[in-house]
Amino acid sequence: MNTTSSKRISDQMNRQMSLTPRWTETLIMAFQSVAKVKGGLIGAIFISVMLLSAICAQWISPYDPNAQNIIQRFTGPGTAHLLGTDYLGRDILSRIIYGCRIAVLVAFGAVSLSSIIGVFLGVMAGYNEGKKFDYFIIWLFDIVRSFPQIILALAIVAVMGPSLVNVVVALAFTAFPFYGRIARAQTLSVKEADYVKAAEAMGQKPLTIILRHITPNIMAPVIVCLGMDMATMIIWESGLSFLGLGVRPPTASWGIMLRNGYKYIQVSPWMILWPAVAIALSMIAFSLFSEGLRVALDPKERER
Amino acid sequence: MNKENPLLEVSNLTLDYRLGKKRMRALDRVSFQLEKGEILGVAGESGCGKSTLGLSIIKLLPKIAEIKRGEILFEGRDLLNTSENDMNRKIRGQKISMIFQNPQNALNPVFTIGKQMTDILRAQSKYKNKKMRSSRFFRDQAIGRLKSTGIADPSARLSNYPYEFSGGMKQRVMIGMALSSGTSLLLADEATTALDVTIEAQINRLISDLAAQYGTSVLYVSHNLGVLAELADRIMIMYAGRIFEMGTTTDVFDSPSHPYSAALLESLPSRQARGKRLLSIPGIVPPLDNLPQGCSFHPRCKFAEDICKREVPPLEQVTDGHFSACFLDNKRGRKRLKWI
Amino acid sequence: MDLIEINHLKTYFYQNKGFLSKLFGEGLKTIHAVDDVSLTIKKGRTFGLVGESGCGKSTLGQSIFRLVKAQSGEILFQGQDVLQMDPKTLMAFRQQAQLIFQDQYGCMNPRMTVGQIIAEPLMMREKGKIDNQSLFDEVIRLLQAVNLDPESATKFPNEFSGGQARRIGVARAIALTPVFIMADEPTSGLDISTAATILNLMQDLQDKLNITYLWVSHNLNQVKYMSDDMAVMYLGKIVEMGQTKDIFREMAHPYTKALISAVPQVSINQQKETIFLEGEIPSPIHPPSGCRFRTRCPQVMKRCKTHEPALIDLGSGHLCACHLHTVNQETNN
Repeated sequence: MNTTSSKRISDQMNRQMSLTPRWTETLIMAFQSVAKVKGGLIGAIFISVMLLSAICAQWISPYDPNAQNIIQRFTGPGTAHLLGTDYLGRDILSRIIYGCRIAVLVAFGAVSLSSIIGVFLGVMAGYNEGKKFDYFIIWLFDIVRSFPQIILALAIVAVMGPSLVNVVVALAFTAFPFYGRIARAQTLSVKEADYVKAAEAMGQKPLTIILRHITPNIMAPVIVCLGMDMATMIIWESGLSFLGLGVRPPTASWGIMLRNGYKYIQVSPWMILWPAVAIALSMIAFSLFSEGLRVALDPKERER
Repeated sequence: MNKENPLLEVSNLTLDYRLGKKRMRALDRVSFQLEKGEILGVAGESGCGKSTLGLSIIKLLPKIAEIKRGEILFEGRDLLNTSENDMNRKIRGQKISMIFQNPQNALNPVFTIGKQMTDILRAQSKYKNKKMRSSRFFRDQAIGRLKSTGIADPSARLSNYPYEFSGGMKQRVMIGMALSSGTSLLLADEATTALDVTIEAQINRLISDLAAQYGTSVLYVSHNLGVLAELADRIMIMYAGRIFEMGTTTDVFDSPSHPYSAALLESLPSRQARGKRLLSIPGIVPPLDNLPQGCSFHPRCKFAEDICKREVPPLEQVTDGHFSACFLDNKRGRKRLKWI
Repeated sequence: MDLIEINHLKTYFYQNKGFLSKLFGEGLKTIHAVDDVSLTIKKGRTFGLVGESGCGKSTLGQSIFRLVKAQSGEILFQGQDVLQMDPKTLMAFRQQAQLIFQDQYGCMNPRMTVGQIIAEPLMMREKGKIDNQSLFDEVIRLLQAVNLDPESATKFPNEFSGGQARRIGVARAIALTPVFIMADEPTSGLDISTAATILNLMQDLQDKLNITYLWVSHNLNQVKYMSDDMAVMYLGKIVEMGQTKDIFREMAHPYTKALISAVPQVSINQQKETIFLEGEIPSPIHPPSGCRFRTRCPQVMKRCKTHEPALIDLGSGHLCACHLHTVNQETNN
C-alpha cells in the first residue's frame, strides 16, 4: 500500500471515526434523495423559500410590518402594496413574511422539542421492554394521548399565558407521545437485530448501544413524521393565534391576520385571503416534502 | 443420443437482463436436451444463470428479462412462441410444473390447504369435462395428491391452514400439486435448500420416486453438489451464463473435464481430510454486465493460456455424452485436473 | 485443558406469559430449547455442534454469551461461572469470547462504515485512550489478516459480497484477540468456493492465534472437516458426543447414523445407503416422554417410552444416550 492512498484512507476514516451517529450526513443524503422524487422537489423548493423569508424577513419585506398608515387602509393589491393593506393600513406582504418567521419558529421548535423528548423516552422504554420503566412511559404516553390534542394545547396555553415560547411548549407536549410510540415500536424490532446482539456480546455499554446502534436505525419513520408534523404545527399555531391564545398582537402571525381579517371580509377579502393562501401553501409544501421523504427513505420504493 | 425426439430441447438460448442502462447477459448460447424420464442436475454458484434457465423454460421471467435468441422445444412445441394464455391453460402446472425454495411463499396463509389445492385443480383445463367438475371430484383429487406425497391422514389435513404444516410438509404439498400422471417436466429450483438434512433426504426421495412413477423428467437446480450427485442422472455445470460442462453424474464428478468443475469439487470439505487446506478459487465471479473477453473463467483459472483470453471455448464432446467448454481439453487428453 | 465447561445447562423460553393468557387459562407453555446439557470444550481445539433446526444448538451457543437467559446450570469459562458474573467481569469475559453470526449482513450496523465496525471493539477496550493513527493501523492490519483491501474501511457493509461481509465479521471477532469464538453457521448462504475460503481463513487464524472454536452447524461434512470433538443435539439434548473421528468411524446413536447417512456425498465411493427417518421433529413444547428421539427412531424399544436414556461412556470419551447401549452394558456387567 503506498503512502498517499494510506493517508487518504486514514483521513477519511478519521472523519468517520467520530462515532457520534452521522446525523448531518444522513440529513443531507435524505434531502438529496427527496429532491429526486417529483413532489418532493416542489416541497423542498417551497420550504427553502419559507426558510429564507423567515431568516431574512427584515431585509426582504418592503415595509415595517407594524407601521400603520390609516389613510391607505383596505387598499387592494397594487404597485405600492403588492398584496394590499389591512384595516390599519399595514402592508400585508410584509406581515405575511414576518408571519412566516413565527410559523417556522413554532413548527421547527415544537417539532424538534417533541421529537427529541419523544424519541428519547420511546427508545429508553423500548430498550427496557417489559420493565417497570417501560410500563410507566407507556402509561404516560397513553394519558397524554387520551386528551384531544388541540384542547390540551388550549388548556396549557390558557394556564401558562399566551406567548411564543408557551405555544411551542404546549404544542410539543401534545405531540411527543406520537414520536415516543413510533420510536418504541421501532426499537423493539431493531434491538433484536444481530448487530445489537453483536455489540452486547462485545461487552458494549447499554448507553453506547442505544446511541450508536439503535437510534440511527430507527430514525427513518421518525423523520417522515417530522415532515408531516411541521404542517400540523403551523395549522395549530394559526388556530391558537386565531383564538387569541397564540402570540400576542401586534406581532404578525398568520393566525392573527386571519382573526383580524374575518371581521372585514365584506369590506376587503384580501386581508383574509393572503394568510389563508400562505397557510395552505405551507401545508402542501410540507406534505409533498414528507411524502418525498417517505419514498426516499424506503429502500423498496427507491429501486423503482 | 436417443433416436426419438427428446422431451425438451433448448438450443442457443441467450437472455439479457436490462437494469437501467446495464445489460447483463444471464444466459449465453445455452443448448441442451432432456430425455423422457431423465433427471438433469444443474449446478453452479449464485449468479451463474441456473435459476434463470428454469424460469425461462416455464416462461415466468421477470419483466426486465429479454430473450435475444434461441429456441425452447418442449414435446415438439416452441415454448417461446406459445401465447401466455396457452401457457396458463395447457402447459403450466400440467405439462410443466415448478417447485421453489420457499414453499411458504407459495401458500396463502388465510386459506386452508384443501381450498388452495382444489382452486388450482379447477383452473386446469384437463378437468374441463362437465361430469368431472364437482366439488367432490376435486376434493378426491386433492386427497389423492396429498396421499401420493406420503402425508398421513390426507382428508383431515385438507382443512388445515398452512401454518399448521412444517416446512417439509409444505414442500410435500407443493410437490403433490406439481407432480401428477400428466406432468412431463418438473423444474425444481433449490427445492430442498431451506430444509434440514433428514427432511431434505425425504423430499429428494419423494421427488425421484414420483418422477419414476409418472415417467416425469426433472430439471433439478441446486448449489449442493452432493444432492445432485445422489439424485441426478446427468449434471450440467454453469458459470456466468454459460454451460461449462455436461455429462453423466459419474463422468462429471469422478473425472471432471473442465477446470472449474474440478475446482468446485476440490473446494468441498467432504473431500478433504481434517487439517488440509481447501481450494479457494482466486478472484470473484465476474459481474454479468462486464464479463471478461474470451473464456469468462480465464482470470481465475490456474490453467489459462493465451487463447483463453481471446476466444470463447465452444462446448465440445470429450467422450461419448460428456461435453466440456475448455480449450485445454483438446490437448490435455484425459489427465486428471489438480488444482492443489 | 478445558476452556469451557458446561454443567446441566437449561435454557427455556416461555410462551403466553402475559396477563390475558393467564386470564383465559391458556397456560404457560415452556419451550425446552436446551435441556440439561453438559459438555466441555478443550483449549485450542474446535468443538462441532450439529443438529437440525430447532434442536437448540444456537440457543446453547447464545446462552454461553448470556445473550439469552439460562434457567439453571453453570458455564465455567476458565474456571469462572459466566452465569454468576457481575457486570464488570462479564464485560471482560465478553472481550475474550467473540461471536460470528449466521447472518453476515444483519450483524453489522448498516449506518456504520466497515472501519467503524471493526474499530468499535478496539475503542471499547482502550476506552478512548487510543489515538486515531494507531487505531487506523490496527483496522488495516485486521482487514489484511482476513484478506480484504484496506480501502474497505471506508465503505458500508452493503457494498460487499456475502463472502467479503463474512470476512469483515471475522475481522471484528478477532480484533481483541479472543481465546474463544463461537461461529454460528459461518458459511450459510455462501457459494461453495467462497465457503472454502472462509474455512481456510478460520483454520489459519486458529493456527496463528490459538483460538478455540465452538462450531455450530447443520452441515456434517463441514463439522467433520473442521472439528476435533463434536456433539450431536436433538430436541435440546445431546444424544452423542466424542471425538469427531470416533463418531464418524463408529456412530453409536440411531439419530447420528441417520443424520450422517442423509448427508449427500459427491463421490460415489462415499455414498452409502440412506437411512430415512419418518415424520418430523416433535414440538419442543411437549417433547416425547422417555427418549426424545423415540417417535422417529427405527430401532425403538418398549423402554424408550418410559425411561430416559442417560449419556454413557462407550470408551475413550465417546458418549451416547441410547438404550441400545445401556442394554449392552447391563448384559456385559
